[in-house]
Amino acid sequence: MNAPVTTTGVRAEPRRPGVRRRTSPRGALAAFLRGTAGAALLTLAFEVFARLELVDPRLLPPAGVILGEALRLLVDPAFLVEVWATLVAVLGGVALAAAIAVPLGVLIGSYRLAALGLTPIIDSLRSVPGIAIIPLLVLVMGQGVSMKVTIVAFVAVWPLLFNTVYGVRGVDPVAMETARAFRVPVHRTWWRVVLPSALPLVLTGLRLALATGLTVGIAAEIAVGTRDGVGYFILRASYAGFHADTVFAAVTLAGVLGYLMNGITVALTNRLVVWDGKGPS
Amino acid sequence: MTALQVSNLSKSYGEGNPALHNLSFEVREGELLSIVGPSGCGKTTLLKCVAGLVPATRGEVRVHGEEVSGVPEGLAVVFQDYGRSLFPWMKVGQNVEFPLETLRLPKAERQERVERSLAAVGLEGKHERYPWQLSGGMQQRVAIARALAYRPKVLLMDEPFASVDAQTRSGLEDLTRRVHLEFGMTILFVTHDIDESVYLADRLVVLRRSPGSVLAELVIELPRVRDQIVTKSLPAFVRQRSVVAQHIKDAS
Ligand SMILES: Nc1ncnc2c1ncn2[C@@H]1O[C@H](COP(=O)(O)OP(=O)(O)O)[C@@H](O)[C@H]1O
Ligand SMILES: [Mg+2]
Repeated sequence: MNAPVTTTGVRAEPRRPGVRRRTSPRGALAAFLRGTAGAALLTLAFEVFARLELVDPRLLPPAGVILGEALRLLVDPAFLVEVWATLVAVLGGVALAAAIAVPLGVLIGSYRLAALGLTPIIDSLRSVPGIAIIPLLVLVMGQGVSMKVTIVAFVAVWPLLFNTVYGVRGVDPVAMETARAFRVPVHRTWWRVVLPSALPLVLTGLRLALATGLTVGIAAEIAVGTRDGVGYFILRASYAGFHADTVFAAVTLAGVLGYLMNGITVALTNRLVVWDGKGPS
Repeated sequence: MTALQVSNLSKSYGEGNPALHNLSFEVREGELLSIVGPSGCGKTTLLKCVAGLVPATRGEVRVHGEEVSGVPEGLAVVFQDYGRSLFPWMKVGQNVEFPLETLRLPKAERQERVERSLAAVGLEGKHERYPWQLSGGMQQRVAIARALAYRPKVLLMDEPFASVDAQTRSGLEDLTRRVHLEFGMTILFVTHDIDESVYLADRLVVLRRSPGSVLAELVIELPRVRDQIVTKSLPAFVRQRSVVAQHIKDAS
């Protein structure tokens, strides 16, 4: 007699209160220990290989020496100044990229016309390898921080843009319809419905943007011989001759920097996105 | 006074896919009208046309005399899919308050309305919870509270209790009757459940399928204040639910 309940009921099942999909503190500790064990093993293998002296130890110093040098660099103001210079350029570039990519992504994700109109430009710009425009940028902007910021922004803009577009397109139509039913104006819907809903993907884009931005920022420092930055420091150390330990240590610390930026973004995501996987998006 | 008038309403989703055909009915001010019909007969489509969320193909809808083109003022909707209709990044209080910001009410008044409507649905003190921390029945009560806080003149409800368990459902039905009497707004209540449609309604419209159109209309002769057990054993209730069931059976 009664028609069956419509299928939409499936998603509307009560969610288990308070259940989080995130890993527990114990799970996180286990993951950390596993990671540390892996790194330790790798370091040990490196150490053993280097001690065999198959390669000139002045070119391939043992891990212990590199670690010692890394610790020294960590408190060496001459190195920290360069880290700061790189960090400023990368964060500045990614911030610039976000300021362009997020609004543009909302626009493209919301309006078919914007997507149609902008896709050709975006596709052709995106296919330009970031590194390839460095000489051009140097010509126009010189070798200072503005060149670095620009090149970082150029490569960081894409992951931010595409993730924002996907995030915006993934907004639950029921959520949008609810906002419309309450006559919420477009701009407020963007701020309060579209952006929060897209936030997890925007933050994924940010994570990727920081990683690419750091890589390309350092590459630019090495490639054009800027006057500062971790890349500049590495370049100078390699030219100075037989400072392989310093070069390896600086490269390792650049890796640690990338790891930290990633970790901070993940922590930020966990703080901001408390509803992860619990509703529309 | 007529609160809501649907005249010769037809709606197709593209060529040769009619969802509604030539529907006409009206809802008087302060009345609770149930629309009952099988799944897929176009109930949701009808509700969206009334809310101005989708345009009619032919015919018109008038809310308080004004022809509906966009979403009319003073109208609120409780969607079937409460789990997706509540915003998971907003706490319960923020969900209820969100539509009030568009009404440009001062903060103090917004707060007061949030308090009152959460209390009206028995969720006082739950402001700081997130919707996904609540049971399905509680989530639907938040959605109702959100609509109540908006103080709509016309409230549209689309199978709001279709996916909660039977016991919760009875409670929510009584809640609907109670807020209807207390706030006095006009309610259009859509359901596929015959018992529910009769139990809640002042008047009732039965829809047939493919494409959806009006099959029958009847006035429900039950006391204003109702009780799940007492009302449902009244001879008038039993008779009228059989009439509705017969209509739906004949049509299929
Ligand atoms: N957006 C849509 N596009 C195309 N067809 C639709 C759409 N929405 C509903 N329909 C069709 O219209 C008919 C009525 O659907 P609906 O209004 O959801 O019925 P009900 O709410 O009574 O279950 C169904 O056949 C459905 O497949
Ligand atoms: Mg429906």
